[in-house]
Amino acid sequence: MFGIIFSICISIGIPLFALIYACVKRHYIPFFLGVLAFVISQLLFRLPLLDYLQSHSTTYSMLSIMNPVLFAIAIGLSAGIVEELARYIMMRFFMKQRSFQAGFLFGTGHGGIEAVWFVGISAISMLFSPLATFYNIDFLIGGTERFFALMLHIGLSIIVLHGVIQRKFLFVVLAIFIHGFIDTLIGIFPLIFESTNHVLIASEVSLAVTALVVISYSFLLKRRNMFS
Amino acid sequence: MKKLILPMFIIALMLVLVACGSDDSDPNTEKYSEKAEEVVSLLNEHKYEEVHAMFDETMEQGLSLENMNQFTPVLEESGDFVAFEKTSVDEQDGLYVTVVIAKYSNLNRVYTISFNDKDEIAGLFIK
Repeated sequence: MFGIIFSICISIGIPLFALIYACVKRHYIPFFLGVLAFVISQLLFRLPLLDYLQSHSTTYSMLSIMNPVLFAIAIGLSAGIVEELARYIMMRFFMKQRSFQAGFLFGTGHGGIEAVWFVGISAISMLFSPLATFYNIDFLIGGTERFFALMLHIGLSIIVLHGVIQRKFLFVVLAIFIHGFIDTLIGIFPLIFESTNHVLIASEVSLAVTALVVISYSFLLKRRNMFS
Repeated sequence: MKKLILPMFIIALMLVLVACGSDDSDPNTEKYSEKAEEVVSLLNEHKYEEVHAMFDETMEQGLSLENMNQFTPVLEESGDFVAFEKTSVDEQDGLYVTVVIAKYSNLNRVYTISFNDKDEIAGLFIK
């Protein structure tokens, strides 16, 4: 049960805590803009589009079979483009608060709703399932992954916000490539490693390292007083 | 606006993928398209023995006739067969890989069927 409870704490607990904090600090607008950025870019646009391509395009399916590396790059990059552009648009045109805290909470909203959607909801339902013990480890891994994904989203939000403040779109491009890179790796590792365990380890370690590097860079930007 | 050109181009490219199909100038395209659609039709009619008879040695060992009954609930979930929406054929390492999009009353199914040089089924996937 520990894995499921851990997963709930990360995927529901952290976003909920962040929401309460955002309301107390009157930074709920950045938080909700972060939520909206994910919902619009992924849930309402990209995922339905990929679903449509998968069931209506033979070229899409053929590409996944004949050139799986290119396919992984395309899918990974598409996630980077739509999410980071959504982040940019929300921050540039709708977010008046431009502080580090605003960027941080934007990232928590964005990563938080992603965690709730992909892991949190199923973790809650699994809590009352007789199969809970069977999936305990899976949820422990899922919760750990969501923790680092959340960290990555916070870091990417800071980078994009920095680009908005400095009026340098290059930082948005940087965020796109970081995001695209990590998503591409997740698609490529199954082609490299035969063992599912090796794929899992490689994916999680890559995510963790990238997240730590990106969040460290974002705190470096904070130390240099790059925010209002 | 300039900043959005590249992302818009990439998204437009993704949308173009929906319209693209196979190269009709290759004579094998028609041959393997028809073969693949024939296999799907047999599966729709639950004629698994006939499909199994088309398997190569590896497929015969990997997917027994009994295990092919697993297709039944998948096909029933799809509903009634309506039409073949699109079929594509491509060649890789001596295998002819076909992708067939079949429209059913409830949803679309994507079949990936590979044929070897003896026209035996070397791979069969349903999504």
